[in-house]
Amino acid sequence: MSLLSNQMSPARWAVLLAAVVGLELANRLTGAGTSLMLAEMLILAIFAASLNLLMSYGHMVSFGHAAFFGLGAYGFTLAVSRAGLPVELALLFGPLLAGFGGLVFGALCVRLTEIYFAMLTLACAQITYTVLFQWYDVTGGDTGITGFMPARFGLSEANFTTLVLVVLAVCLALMARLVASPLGLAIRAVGQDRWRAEALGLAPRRVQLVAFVISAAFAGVAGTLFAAFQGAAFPDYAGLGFTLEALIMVVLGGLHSFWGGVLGAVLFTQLRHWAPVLTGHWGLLLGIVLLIFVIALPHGVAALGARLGLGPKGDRA
Amino acid sequence: MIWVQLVNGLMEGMMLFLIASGLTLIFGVSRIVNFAHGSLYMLGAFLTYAFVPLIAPGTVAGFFAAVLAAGLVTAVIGTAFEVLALRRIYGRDSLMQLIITVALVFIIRDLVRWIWGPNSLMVPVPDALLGAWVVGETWFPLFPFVIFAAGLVVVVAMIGTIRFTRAGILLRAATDDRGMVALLGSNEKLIFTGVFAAGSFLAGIAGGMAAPYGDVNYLLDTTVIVSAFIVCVIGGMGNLYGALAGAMVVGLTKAVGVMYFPRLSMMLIFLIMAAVLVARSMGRQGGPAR
Amino acid sequence: MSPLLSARQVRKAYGSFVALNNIDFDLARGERHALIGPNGAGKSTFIACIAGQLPGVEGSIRFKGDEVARLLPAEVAKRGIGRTFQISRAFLQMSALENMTAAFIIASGRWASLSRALLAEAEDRAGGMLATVGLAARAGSRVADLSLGDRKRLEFGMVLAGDPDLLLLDEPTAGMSIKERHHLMELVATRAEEAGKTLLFVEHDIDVVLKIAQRVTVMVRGAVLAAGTPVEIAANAQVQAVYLGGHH
Repeated sequence: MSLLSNQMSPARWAVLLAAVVGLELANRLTGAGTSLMLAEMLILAIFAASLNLLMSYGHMVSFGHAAFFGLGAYGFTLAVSRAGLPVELALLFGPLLAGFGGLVFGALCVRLTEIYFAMLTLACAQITYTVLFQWYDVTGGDTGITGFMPARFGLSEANFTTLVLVVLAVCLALMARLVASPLGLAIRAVGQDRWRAEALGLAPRRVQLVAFVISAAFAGVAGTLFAAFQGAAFPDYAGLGFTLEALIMVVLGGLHSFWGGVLGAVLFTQLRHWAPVLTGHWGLLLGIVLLIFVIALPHGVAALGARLGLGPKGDRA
Repeated sequence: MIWVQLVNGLMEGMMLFLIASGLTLIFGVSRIVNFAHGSLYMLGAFLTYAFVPLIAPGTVAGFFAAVLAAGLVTAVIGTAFEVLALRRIYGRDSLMQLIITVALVFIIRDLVRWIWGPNSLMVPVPDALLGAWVVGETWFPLFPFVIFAAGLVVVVAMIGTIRFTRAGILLRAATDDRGMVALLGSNEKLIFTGVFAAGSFLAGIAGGMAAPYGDVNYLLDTTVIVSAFIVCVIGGMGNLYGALAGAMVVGLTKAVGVMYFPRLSMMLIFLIMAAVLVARSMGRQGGPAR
Repeated sequence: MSPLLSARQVRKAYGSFVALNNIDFDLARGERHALIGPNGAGKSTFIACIAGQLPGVEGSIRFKGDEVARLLPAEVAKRGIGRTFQISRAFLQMSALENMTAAFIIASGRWASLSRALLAEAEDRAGGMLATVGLAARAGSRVADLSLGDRKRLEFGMVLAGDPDLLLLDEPTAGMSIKERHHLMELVATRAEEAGKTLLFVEHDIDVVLKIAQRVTVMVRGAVLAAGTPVEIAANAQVQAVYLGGHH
């Protein structure tokens, strides 16, 4: 009942622990191919969770979240390739650039609501994409930036995947901490009824901006890891394709649930990984799966988990 | 050269308006942001490619007949989607409505690649329209003029329908105040379906008419939908005449921008859109009166 | 003593429609003041003007001596004006307790904090306030599942959490049974009395008005028709003609 006692039940801790152990076992026992697939899945889970934070708690639907994934990737990549910083230090510049981008774009976007908010995020992301694509001298244009570091910091596939798993766990712990804080409550309040919040003395845009920047910074963490994973950065990282994928993940996983983004990323990447076994028509398959989810299962897989007694009652956003 | 580009810009603006008008009317009536509208445009282009060799190839009448047929088939497909999928989720979370149209984007793109392959296709310009007008030293290709004129005919017919027919009155009533439709004693569902069908038809014929002017490929959907969003936003979502102005701004900016700063013309359009949105946010919005 | 709130020549127009036409209005500290009038008289608009929710308000609204007419709602709220809405507003997907906790956190001004201690303290006070407004048993219910009356109570408690000097209540009893109405308004009056709050409320039930209000202002078509004690208003022939006429 209480907010503070809204800790996870032992059953949920057990499920979580089993998931982590299962992932690590799969990572260690099934070969490099699986490790690479898992690394990508876990990075996308961070990205989707960052969008979920914005959408499920702040009720802000962004059509441009990939901008911050891209800025994260380029912040890190440019810090290494152009500024010549050591890789460890450069890692900080990914989330930093993404967070800064979130501050600039967010300051504009939170002045609008609903569809116009979404459209301005789209414009901001497309501007980012165009800059990355066209500014050859700095970003290398459509050929991207490659060869500035060994892919995965030179780690083995399995070790890199373990690293990503740890970063994902840290990100989720931070997000959980945020959600269960006064700030998290304020973000939810503005998301659910900005007029009530305003009449109580809360400036809605300021709260939304804070949420936007935090979400952008987490997307930047994902982008940074993705660039390290590939040993490369391309303008596409900031493109509409990645934005749509993240939106789809959140919807598949379950909007208004803490785990929605992560579950959606798992479902989406597994579907994409195994689809070729079934059919060569990935788009058709994804479209049909989306239709089924939206019409029949609008609260995503998280709601299925709830029905199985893993009760996300407490983390309803 | 600038004059030729201006004509191209007007033509592109007209095509953009045909797409955006459907998008903005659908939004105005049902509050649905149809991400698949660019896919319907693309479908119109591919269907025109398929129909052109079948109907009096090379003639002007044959070309427009193929475009019309493509528009009708697109309208049938759009209507089927509305009735079978979209209708089930009216009134639900707007994000779900968006995602269901994204599902259609993936499905159409996959089917188009399946049927027509991944390579760009060419739709021939009808023989009679291959020529150019020569004014002084400038050659004006005939085709953009004709497409612009054809688009104008469609737009006049559309605006006439909206202003002077009963269907148009219902549409305007539904856009201004959805409660009104019930008062007028009409079926809301029928209006939604009708608007979606008409919007699909307009997107389909736009895709068909513009097909000879560029490559027809399976990536058209996203480029077109993004441009159409920009047009709608500049004009104000749900505002038909605003969309007309927005379409001309975008069409001309693209065409002229390509001459002076080819790498940044798309950027310029996004900047215009962002500027319009930021300007919109400057006015202070009122709270709920009650 | 100077009035707590003083409005002069307040005017609000929507295009050619004038919703409020040069309203002059004073509110004494500690007063319980009712705003009555037929639908469309501009009562809710006037409340929204005071709360800073409408753009383009002309004239002057002074609160504790300061001009507040063109401030944003959050700034007005911070200066000590709290309001409820005609269709009550709360955070629909949260529990009653979370709603109230959010209200206390906003009132503390430390919304950007990550402190668990602050959250615990706010939650503690929220529990107390829920008990005060008679919702202790519904603390865990989502607002979306609460009855209309319970939502009104919750909203009133959330406004009280901010400890405002002036409470603006827009039809606090709309849609309630007669019994519920009197129950809620007695609670409101008691709480206001105890804490020395000033109360301005819109109410259609004349019995409630006569029982609770110390002063009454009657509005018609965007203007003030009459003001006075409930007894004076009840006896005013003009008021009876336009407003009370058909009903009593």
